[in-house]
Amino acid sequence: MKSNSMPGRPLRFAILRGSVRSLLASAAGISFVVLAGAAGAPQFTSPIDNGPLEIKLLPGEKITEGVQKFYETGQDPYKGDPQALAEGKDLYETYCQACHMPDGSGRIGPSLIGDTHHYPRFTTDKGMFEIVYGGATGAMQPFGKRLTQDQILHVMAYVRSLKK
Amino acid sequence: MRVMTAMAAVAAICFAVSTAGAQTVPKSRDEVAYPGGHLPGNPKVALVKIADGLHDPVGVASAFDGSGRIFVCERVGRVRIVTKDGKLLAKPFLDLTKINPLGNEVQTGFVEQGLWSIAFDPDFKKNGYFYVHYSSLPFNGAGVILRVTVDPNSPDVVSSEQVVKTAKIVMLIPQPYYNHNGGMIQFGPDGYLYISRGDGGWEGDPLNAGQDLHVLWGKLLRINVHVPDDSIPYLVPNDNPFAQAARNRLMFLFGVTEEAFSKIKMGAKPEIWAYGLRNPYQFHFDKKTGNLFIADVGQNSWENIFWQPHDSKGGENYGWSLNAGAHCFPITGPNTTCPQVGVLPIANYPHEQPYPDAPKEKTGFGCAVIGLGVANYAPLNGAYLAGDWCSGRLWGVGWDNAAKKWQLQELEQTQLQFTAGNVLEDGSVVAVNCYCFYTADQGPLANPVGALWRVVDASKVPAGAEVARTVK
Ligand code: HEC
Repeated sequence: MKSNSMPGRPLRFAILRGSVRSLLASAAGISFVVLAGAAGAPQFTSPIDNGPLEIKLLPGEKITEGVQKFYETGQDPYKGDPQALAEGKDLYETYCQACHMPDGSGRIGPSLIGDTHHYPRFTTDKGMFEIVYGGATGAMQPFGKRLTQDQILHVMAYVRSLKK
Repeated sequence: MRVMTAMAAVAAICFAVSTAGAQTVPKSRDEVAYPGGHLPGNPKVALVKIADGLHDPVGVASAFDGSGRIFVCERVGRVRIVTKDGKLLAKPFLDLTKINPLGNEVQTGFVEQGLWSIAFDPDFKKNGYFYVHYSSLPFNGAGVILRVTVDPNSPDVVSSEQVVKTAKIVMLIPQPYYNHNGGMIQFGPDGYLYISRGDGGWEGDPLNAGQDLHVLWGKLLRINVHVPDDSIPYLVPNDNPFAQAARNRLMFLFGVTEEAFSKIKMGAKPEIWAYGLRNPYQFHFDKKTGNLFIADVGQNSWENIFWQPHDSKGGENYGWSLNAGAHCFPITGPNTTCPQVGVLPIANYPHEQPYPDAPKEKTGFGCAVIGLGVANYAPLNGAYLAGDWCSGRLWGVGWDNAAKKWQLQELEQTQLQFTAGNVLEDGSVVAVNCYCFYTADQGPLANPVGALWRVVDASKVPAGAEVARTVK
């Protein structure tokens, strides 16, 4: 399949795309889809209207093992991994700090540290992914248009590391 | 006075008899509309996507030539055509990135720079003239208003040769800083070209440009581009508010009243129609009434929408930077006081913190007001629409005849960073959005692509249409 777009059923499609993965992981992925119910693959939703979030691969984007793990567990696999955090920091400095400040304390965008957050889903990795991938309002744009899902997981891991 | 076409004038008179006759400019600060109001009928609207795949679209216009084409300005220096049925043509209508062998004609180094707007001559069908306004790279960011003539044999693509052959620089406005260029150009109902220019930039109006009648910055300008011969760049309409006051005169003292002296503005720029503006990126005439709405982007605290009746004689001072609309500049706390200068806005909305260390607004805030146009259709019925670049809010401003005041209603909050809007041939209001917020700009061709949207009655969304997500 050549299309970058995978409307409707992001997870299953992602799994089908994961040509580099081992058979075992693939089996796990498929069973996850099955577990998610006959209605279809688990669905990300937009933080602003809870509507379905369509996942579109960027040109050349591959589903990495990290993204695969995230799909399967709902956990950001890069949290606490020093090398991943360094990469995440780099991305954060390029794409996020202008609005959220280097320490995450917020300016144009709200604080990403502390315990009070605008979107309750901020506290889960799936929820933060939905905010960063799909965007919130206005200036908090959908970063899924700029960053691969793998990069988003890296930057998220870095944001979590800022939390005091 | 803006002399209107016969039809518009008749329409205006009819309208005046029904409702608009009551519309007035607020005389005191408490008459200015704030968020939380309701337009008559509490309209529900939706934004329906017309076309996608536009690089940093920052301006949009119709040619009013019966073709139904929608012309979208891409910041980098191109104008793209979206056809009546929503198809984005691959070849640009105009491409200023290629006319000059030394590189792009357009300066886009800062996100507020680029090709801002296009306007078609009222006689476009006959003379093929259109005008664009952009920041020029060879002129170091100066604002250029360029007239180009379309070759009737190639109505959808103006070749580089055709641009070079027919180009006429109508106006060149030097720009001291890279921001606050303003940028919209539109023909008024009087056939004159109106041009919005920001205060020249930096922040806080360091040059006092808003109040300085000797500079073109911080102004709405009005010129006559219909000259008897093209060796004349443009003419200043005789009835521009400072056209006479600006003339030099012999010295005199006796027999002249102080009032008469106060009206002499020797050396003022006669092109000025209105002043005291900060960055009026978009402004629109109500095609039905001839009234004018100006959306003026504010400093740290308030966003303003100004209004002029169709019979305005010009010369309005909108207060910047002595005021920020109905508020003080600088605003230092919740109770800052200052005298009111000039003409009040009809509506305003705050930033998240409308004064230093203010409690954060929970709703109804933004940071840059982008006028979209007057929607003379149900359910908006004459409301002026504006979007906010930062918060994605869509606002409606309208006259409430029952309450005898202006109302400002938040119609919805979207994910869109609004950059421009306009009224099309069929009367519908369209808007464009980019992913080019200051702190996220990666260049006019590197940012994710934006789209073109139409504002429709929420109960009349066409089947299968893509509707902009809104906060529930
Ligand atoms: C151009 C400014 C801007 C940039 C750049 C930006 N953000 Fe945001 N961000 C915002 C705004 C504004 C909001 C609030 C949006 C809302 O309330 O709907 C926000 C909200 C968020 C939230 C939700 C916070 C909460 O309290 O629920 C998260 C998480 C977030 N941003 C992460 C990021 C990350 C990660 C990046 C970089 C990849 C980023 N942002 C880049 C402006 C920005």
